[in-house]
Amino acid sequence: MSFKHRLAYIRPLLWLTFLSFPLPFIAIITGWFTAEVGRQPWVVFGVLRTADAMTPFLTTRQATISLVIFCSVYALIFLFGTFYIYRFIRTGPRGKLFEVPHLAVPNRPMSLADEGPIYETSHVGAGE
Amino acid sequence: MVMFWVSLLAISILLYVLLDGVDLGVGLLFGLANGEERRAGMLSAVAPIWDGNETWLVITAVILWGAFPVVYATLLSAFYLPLIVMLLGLILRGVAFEFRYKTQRLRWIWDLSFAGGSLIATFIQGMTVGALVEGLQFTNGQYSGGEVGWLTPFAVLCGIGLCLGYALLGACWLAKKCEAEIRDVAHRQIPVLAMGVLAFLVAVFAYALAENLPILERWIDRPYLFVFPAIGAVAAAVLALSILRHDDHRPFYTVALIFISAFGTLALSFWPYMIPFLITVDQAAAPQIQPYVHVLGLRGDRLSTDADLHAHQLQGLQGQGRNNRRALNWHFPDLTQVPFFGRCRRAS
Repeated sequence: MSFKHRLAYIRPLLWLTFLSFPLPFIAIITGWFTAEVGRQPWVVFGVLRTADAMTPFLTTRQATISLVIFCSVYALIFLFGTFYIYRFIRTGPRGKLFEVPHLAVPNRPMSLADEGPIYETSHVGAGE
Repeated sequence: MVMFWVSLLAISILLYVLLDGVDLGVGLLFGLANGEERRAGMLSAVAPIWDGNETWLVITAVILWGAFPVVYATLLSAFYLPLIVMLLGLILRGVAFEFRYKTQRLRWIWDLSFAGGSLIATFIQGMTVGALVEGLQFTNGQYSGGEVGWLTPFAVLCGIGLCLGYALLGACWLAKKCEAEIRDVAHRQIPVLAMGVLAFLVAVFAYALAENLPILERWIDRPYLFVFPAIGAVAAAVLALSILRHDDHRPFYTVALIFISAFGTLALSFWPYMIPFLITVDQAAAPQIQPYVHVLGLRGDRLSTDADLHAHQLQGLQGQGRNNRRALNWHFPDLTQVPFFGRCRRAS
């Protein structure tokens, strides 16, 4: 077996891969925090202060409402997304290990988990 | 240069309305469809294109931000809550494409978020345009209408009208792209939706007459502006013919033409204003994109002292500026001199 194929059977590496699924999310969110918090009190560094960039007629209530609805929608999507990724990993690979599913497209990463034609509804695995 | 950015803005808005109108419309009709096969088929008809279509909204926002910052700041702040809710609608319908096939028991959540998100986004887009047409309340160039100052019966009517319009566009797309039951249902929906859009246009016209909205006077004053509504009427007649013939392809192109003529009608009604009767195209243009216009004196009341400084530096270019002005007038006869009409809520 070639090195590439043997790699897929090394258990510690598989565990490491499994456990690292939250890392991209942590990287994105903490990176964002670093940029946004680190830039304060500037909104454009050295040019425009955050206090001067505020919309003068924006009320606290409007800002609160927008924050609450953003957080709730984000939480809903994040919750389901994490659940679907977890279930996807727990189910494990099916079919041929080294073949990309024919419906997979680069702009839809989750399509890697799709099997069969798009109208087929019987592909949902464990957890249901 | 200003005309270049205005044209680019117009093109990106028009492309957004036409392209995302298709998949928002399919989203609206998706809510009415039942049966997994039909729903999956409808989703597949837009799945490969929807995110590309939506990108034109980002391009529109970026052009506004970079080239017309005053308009960007004024409109996005005035419509703060509705635009946030619109974005959430777009997020929910976008994620439905991914999550729908990951579950069976809870698929209704994503079906609901696809149809509901499409409905929210479409309604708010129509409502925003309606509120803008009717006129927002400004004090010293700043929005002063309050948190829900945009919520008027006319704005709600425009929201409903755009839902009908996008649904019509979506139905025409489904008739063009799909087969069997989806196509048959779409063929039945097209005449109903077309009548709905027609009723909406009549209602808007009646409302404009009753309220004597300022744009109506501009139309009566300049009958040659009726070229766009005339194109729309011809397209509507062709649409009626193609409905009778059960044509699969022609309805889509005629409805697209009706949208283009409606867009042209709206744009011409307000030219040269970007925010009706408050800020013109030239006043809104960022100083970086308008080296000549200041020199021409096309700006009425100036908004920025930076821009004036810029104008002084460029006085050497006056000769070129005159040519530029001639070019502007050639493309848009008289329109830059349209007098200030009617009900302006600006308090100076």
